[in-house]
Amino acid sequence: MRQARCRQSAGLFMVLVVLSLAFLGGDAQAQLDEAKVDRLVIGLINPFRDYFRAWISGTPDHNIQHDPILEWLIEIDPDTGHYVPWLAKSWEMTPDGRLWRVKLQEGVPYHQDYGEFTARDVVHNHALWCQADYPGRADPPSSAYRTGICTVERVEVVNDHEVLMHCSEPCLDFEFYYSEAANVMMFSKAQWDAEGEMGYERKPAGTGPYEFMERQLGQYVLYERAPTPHWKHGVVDWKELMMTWTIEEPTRYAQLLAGETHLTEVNKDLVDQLVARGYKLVRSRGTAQQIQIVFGGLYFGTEDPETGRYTEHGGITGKLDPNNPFTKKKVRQAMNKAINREELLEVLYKNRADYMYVHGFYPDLPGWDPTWETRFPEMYGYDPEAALRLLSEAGYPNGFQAKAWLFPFAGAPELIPLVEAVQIQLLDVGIELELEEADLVSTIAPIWRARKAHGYLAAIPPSKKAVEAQIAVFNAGKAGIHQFETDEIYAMWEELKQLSDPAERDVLLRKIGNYKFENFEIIPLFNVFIEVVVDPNIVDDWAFPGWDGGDIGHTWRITACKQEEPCR
Amino acid sequence: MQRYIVIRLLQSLLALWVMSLIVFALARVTGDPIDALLPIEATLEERETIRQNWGLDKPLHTQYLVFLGKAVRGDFGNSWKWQGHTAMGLVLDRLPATLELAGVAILISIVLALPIGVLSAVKRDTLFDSVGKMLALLGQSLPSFWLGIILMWVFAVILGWLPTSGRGGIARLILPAVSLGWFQVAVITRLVRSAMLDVLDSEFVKLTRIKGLSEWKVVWKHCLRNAAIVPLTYFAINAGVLMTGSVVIENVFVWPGTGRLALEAVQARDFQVVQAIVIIFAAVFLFANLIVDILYAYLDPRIRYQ
Repeated sequence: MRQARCRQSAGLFMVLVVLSLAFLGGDAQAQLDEAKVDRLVIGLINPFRDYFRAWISGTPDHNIQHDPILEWLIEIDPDTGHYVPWLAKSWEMTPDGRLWRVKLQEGVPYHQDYGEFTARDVVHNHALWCQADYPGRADPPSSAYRTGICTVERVEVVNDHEVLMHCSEPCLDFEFYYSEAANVMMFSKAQWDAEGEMGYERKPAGTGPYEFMERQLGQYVLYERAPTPHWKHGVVDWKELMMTWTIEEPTRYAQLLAGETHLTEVNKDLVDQLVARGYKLVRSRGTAQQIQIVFGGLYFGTEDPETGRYTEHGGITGKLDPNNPFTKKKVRQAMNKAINREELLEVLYKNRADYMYVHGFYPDLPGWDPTWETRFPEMYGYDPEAALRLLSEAGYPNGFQAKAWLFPFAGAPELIPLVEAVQIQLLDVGIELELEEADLVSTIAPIWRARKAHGYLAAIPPSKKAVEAQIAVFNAGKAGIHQFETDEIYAMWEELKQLSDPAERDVLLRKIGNYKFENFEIIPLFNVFIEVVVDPNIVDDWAFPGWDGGDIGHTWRITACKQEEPCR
Repeated sequence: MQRYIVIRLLQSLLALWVMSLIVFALARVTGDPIDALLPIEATLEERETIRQNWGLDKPLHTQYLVFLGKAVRGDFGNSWKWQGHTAMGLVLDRLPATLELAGVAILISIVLALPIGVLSAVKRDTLFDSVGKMLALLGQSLPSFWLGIILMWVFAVILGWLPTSGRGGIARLILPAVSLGWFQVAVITRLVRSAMLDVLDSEFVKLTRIKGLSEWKVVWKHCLRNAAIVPLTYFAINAGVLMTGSVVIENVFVWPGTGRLALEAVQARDFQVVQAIVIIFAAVFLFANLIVDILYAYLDPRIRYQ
């Protein structure tokens, strides 16, 4: 009996021990309730513009500073790349494409007790961008996408949570221009009335999950978690979020290694080194930029000063130079076939990019043609012998001499070695490239604008945009690049602007895409993603589409690593 | 002496005016600021609006006269990159950080260079002298940005003793100040050493020794005072070099001074800020030279009587 009691006690003891161990073991694996640090520090390169009023010389590259505190009407879903509701709950276009009925979210509070987000905020923000002499606004608006944004010529208030956006012409790309990919974020009208324009600089009130705390010019912007749970995202992981600006790459690298930042941007070689040290690479979920080489001088469009055709953006002095070899289609095809993309992808992009086919077109946007992928190897694929044959047929059996610009581009450090590699590859087919260092802003842009870039190649990384916006900027003469312009493409553009049926637009965009594809408009290279490196002990993941303004955003989706072990 | 100071002052003002002409012209020949201000997608209409708004549509000489008229009152206009801030306000805001860094760098260079230079001269051709010369050689050959990155790597990343970058507290000051001052240590060491060697051979030094003064007094009081005139001249140049040299170091160490501001303003073609910085740098440079000229005249009567 006593023995049995002993055995019973021993058994009970063992069970308790096992349970205790199991409990302790389980505790070691338990999830932490909070992030391991209160302040997440994001080491970025440059603030681009060091102020909040995005309508002044702004571009979407400016948006990262707005992202934690302000919100847009339309979000881009990181996982699908589709437009999804944000401050706009739903939106619907009338059949003529000239009116959008937009229903707004209810119960969205502005920070600092500036009341609820309503239709009057939409009217105010549209006016900031589009209304000449808007009362209280000191500087005139000037920004990328303003033309598209202001195609909405009037915002009519139906009630506090519904507006009608009237367009001067069919505006099928309304979603793009009022999404986070562009730059109309919703500032508070009540704050404007109470504090004036500079209130937005002192402490902008937004509706985002973070509130603005302070800014040190050129050094950092600091945000804190809003005191109440966010209307959409609830409670975000970080009490504070800081963006620091460090131009020097070795310093950003050292900051991450020293634990002073938890997330940073560095070039691909340094990314590899950091990953080897246990840091984690996080990529944008979708394509952010297209890497391409532009042929200078493809000014085939006929100028017409009387109607303003091709002249409205200062392009009247440029003329097509038929002596420019790039103007011959066979030369452009030959140059494409002289490029060994596989080698460039492996060496320069570490195989972390996809091939692109047509500038401005993406599989998830209207106008995409799946046949491009299958036709690409035959038309553009690496074949030096075919390249030599094409050059000979074009009248250049011994090749020719041309020039290429070299310039640094923030966020695309591979561009310079890329052009140097292309120089070597083109030499194999007799094309001698003279490389010329130049400044993009002061030297190249004015030459592009004046349509005088005859015989110059330039590697550029256009960010993802709506397809119509790409065509406007690069092919329809609506901005200063003049990449490839012809009377045919200009006519198609005019037709496109009149279409209100999305299906018809899709067909016409595909036609434009094919026209560009078959005319070897550019040397298409790669679709690239934005890469950041995170400290896996602190950060778990960051889901951002890469189509955010300035390519990065969705800071509320930076999630904390809430386990003892690093989140690899 | 007063006449001497007045002449020097007028010369400084003339130099400042020439500098304003140069900086105004250089800023314009590097390209159209509208290209930096506006995105490439901007329309012609937007470009013209901004051009008028900033007065860039006026003839260059008019723009210069407007600039000069305001500049003499300390008004360099509003910054284009940092909207809502005046150029002068930005520079003045950042100046203390640069002065702090330059001041500590100068302090480091004097504290290290003077004794090394003096002792190298006194202990000429000994092991100490060789080490001193080696240090001077290294200091002059190592680029400051390279030294800065190496120091950051060793002391911040590997050892974790100091922060990598930023401003605030002594710990953040050490690495940039050493990187910035290291070159000056080398230069001043060499200058002091060579000046001391000249003085040590002179007759009056022999006389002081014959009079029975202690070697300490001979070297540190009589010799150093006479040898100081050469490094003192360099000191004026040094002040300017440290201000402008801080452009590189401030960027490596994310030090929020005028050097970093200058680089960002140049990149953004923010004429107003660039002009304000250059004029203020020039003024500091000229002021330091003026002070040294006066000191020089004080130390060497032959100069003021010339």
